[in-house]
Amino acid sequence: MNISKKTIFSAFFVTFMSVGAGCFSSTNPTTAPVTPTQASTATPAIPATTATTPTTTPSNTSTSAAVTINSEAAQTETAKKELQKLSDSINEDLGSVSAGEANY
Amino acid sequence: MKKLLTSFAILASIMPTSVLFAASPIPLDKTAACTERVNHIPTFLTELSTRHTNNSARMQSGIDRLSSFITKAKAAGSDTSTLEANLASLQSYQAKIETDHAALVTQLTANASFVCSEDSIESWKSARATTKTYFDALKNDIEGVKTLRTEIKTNVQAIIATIKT
Repeated sequence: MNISKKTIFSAFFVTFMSVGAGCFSSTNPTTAPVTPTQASTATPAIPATTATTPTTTPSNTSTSAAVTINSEAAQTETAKKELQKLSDSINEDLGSVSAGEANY
Repeated sequence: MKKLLTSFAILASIMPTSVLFAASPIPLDKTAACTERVNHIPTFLTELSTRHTNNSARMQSGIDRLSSFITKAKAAGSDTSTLEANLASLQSYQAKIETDHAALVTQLTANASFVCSEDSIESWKSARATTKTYFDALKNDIEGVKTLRTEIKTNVQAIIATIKT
């Protein structure tokens, strides 16, 4: 291929000129003027707390329910015994009320 | 004479005393009985007072315990309306016992200063009859409490039976 020095120079010149015309153009840029950023008074957002991974404790639901039922049954049994005691005492109290004999 | 006395002794042994002494002066016996009773009144008043103090304490205790029972049974979800009516009756008896006891004491205190004589025997009889009405009223109150006691016992047991364990 036989390219003359002149051709190379011309090509270089043309390229240089076209690029240079773009860089040094006097036309205003079309981009919107940048307004100065105001100092933000907004409270900086609190960084979200890291979601903790819920610790899953192994639970045996059926055992827990049984314990609750047993506890309730024990409480009821105690209450029943207490009421029975009260009943006996009432019976004893009222049973000992006496008129006595009309020995006058 | 000996024979006569022996016959009298035999007769006395086979006849009731009341028949034997039927001819004794009755007013004298009644006066003596009246005096004996009047003299016993202070002792009886003391006994009555002790009994009343005990009864009052027992009644109050029964009322307090029944109230406590009602509160607890209610808390356990039981229907206590019948027992509440029983409690009201018991409180009424408590008040009536106080009134009737006071009336009896007043009457007995008056009787304690009674002067027994042949002339006052009828008056004494009347005073005794009045005293008896007061005493009967008090006895009726106590009987009412006893009946109520049985009723309360039944109602209380019925409530206890409904509480499931």
